Parts: sequence; C-alpha cells; structure tokens
Amino acid sequence: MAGEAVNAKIGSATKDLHLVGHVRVSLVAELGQTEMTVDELFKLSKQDVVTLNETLDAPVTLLLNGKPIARGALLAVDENLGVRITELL
Amino acid sequence: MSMSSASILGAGTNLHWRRARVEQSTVLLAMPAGGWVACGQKLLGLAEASKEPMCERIAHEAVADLMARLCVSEPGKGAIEVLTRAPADTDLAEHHGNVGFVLTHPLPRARLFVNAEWCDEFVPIHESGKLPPLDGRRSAIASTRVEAKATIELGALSIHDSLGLSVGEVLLTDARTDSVALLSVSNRGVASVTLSSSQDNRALRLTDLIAS
Repeated sequence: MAGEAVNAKIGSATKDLHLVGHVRVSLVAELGQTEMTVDELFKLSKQDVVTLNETLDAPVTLLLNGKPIARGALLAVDENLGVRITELL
Repeated sequence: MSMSSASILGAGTNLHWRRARVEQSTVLLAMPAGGWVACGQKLLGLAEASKEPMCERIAHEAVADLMARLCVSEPGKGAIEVLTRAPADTDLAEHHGNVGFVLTHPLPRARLFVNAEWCDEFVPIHESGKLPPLDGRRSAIASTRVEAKATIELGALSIHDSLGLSVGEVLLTDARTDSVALLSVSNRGVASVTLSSSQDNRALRLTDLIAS
C-alpha cells in the first residue's frame, strides 16, 4: 500500500512537469562581482573598464529563473557563448 | 532675543536708520526719533528731563561705535551710512536670512538687524558648540562600499530542457560572444557592459550608463 502511494506521488509529479515542460524560463550567467565606493560608482563613464574579482577561467554561476542552479565554464562556440556545466544539483 | 522683523519694527514708528557694512556682512540699526536724546541721557547718567545738548551727539557716537565693533572695524573708522528711508524687506525679513533684535539699554527700543552673511561670518554654527556643521549628503555616502555584479542574459530554455542538463554537457546559448551584459548594484542595473579582460581577471567595458 505504501509503495503504491509513493508511486502515485511520483507519477503526479512527473505528470505536473510534463504539463509545464514547454514553459520557457530565463537563463542568466553571473560573471562575477566587484566592490567599489559610491563615489567611484557615480564617477563611472562610458568606455571605463571595471575589473571583476574573478579570474578569466573562474566558473560562472547559472541562474535559472533568477535562482543559482549550476556552475560552469564560459566558452565561445563559434560566435555564440556556451557553458560547459561543471556543477549541478 | 531675535524676533521677526515685522514685530520688531511695529507700525507707524518714525525710525532713523544707520547701516554698517564689511564686505557682504551688514548691520542695520533703527533708532526711534526721540531715542537719541534718551540714549544720551542714559549714557551720561542724566535725568530723563535733562535736555543737555551733548546727549544726542553722545548717542550718535555710541551707535557708530557699537556698529563699528559689530563689524569688527576700528571705532571711528569706516563709514556708518545714514539712510534716508527704511531698508528693503530683503534686508530685514527673517525669511531672507536676517536676524532682528530689540535693544533696550542704553538704546531705548532701538532695532538691530544683521544679515545672513554677518551671521555666517561672526557666528559660525560649528563654533556655537551646540550643533555640528552639516555635510552634503553625497559626500556623506561617497565612501560607502557597494557590491556590483555582472550578469549576462543567455536566453531562455524550457523547463524540460533545464531538467535534462547534466555535468560535462556544453550548453549552447543564444547569446553572442559580443553580447551586452549588465552591471548591477542590489539587483538594479547601473550600466550596460561588454566582456573584456584585465590581466588575468574578467573585466567589463562600460557601453552605456543606465539612468535611474
């Protein structure tokens, strides 16, 4: 009886995901961060270069619907950006 | 004690005006018509009925001396102007930054006005010992440190595809290598940027500032 209940739950969850599986959600990569003073922030102007704390080969964090879900290496695939997934829950 | 110019001046009073200036600082004094004699009498210690001719002269000299001292110039030096009409409201009214006083001894009901520049010059706030000098709000927050984050939109993918992601997989995105990224502070975009590098670190070149 207990096993049947669990299977019913799993079936329900799968069914729910199939219902919304086509829904598209945003994917954003967090490239890194830096700290600056408000004064420095106000003085920013076009063409200024801001250096981030992350090294070039540091992993980026992938945000799915605004939530961090994975980390990966940012790379160029022809003229587009690609991400090789390195960590995922 | 300072009072509003209207309550100090009263209505229909015949006043004799004197003015002393040092740069932008101005001191105005208004003496009631009969006040010169009364002032001289008090200064000389004479009875009120006394009409000693020097009373008025002594009072004029005393007022000139007072005004010169208020303007930190040497008594007897610097012109004390005799005004033929009452000064404009801008020289008297409190809302123009002037402060008015009523003097009672030895100048009977004489009115004294100093302008905002005089107050700034001779009564600086930070020397009053009561209130600290004010600073601009921008300068107060200038040294506050904020964390800025850089993000780049990679496009959208279906929930189905997102659940199928796996480690080692290369996710090809819609974003081009020269796509514009976003620099934001507390989730508010502050600038559009393109990816760059600075020595071994990632860097951003600002392409546009986002107005708040």
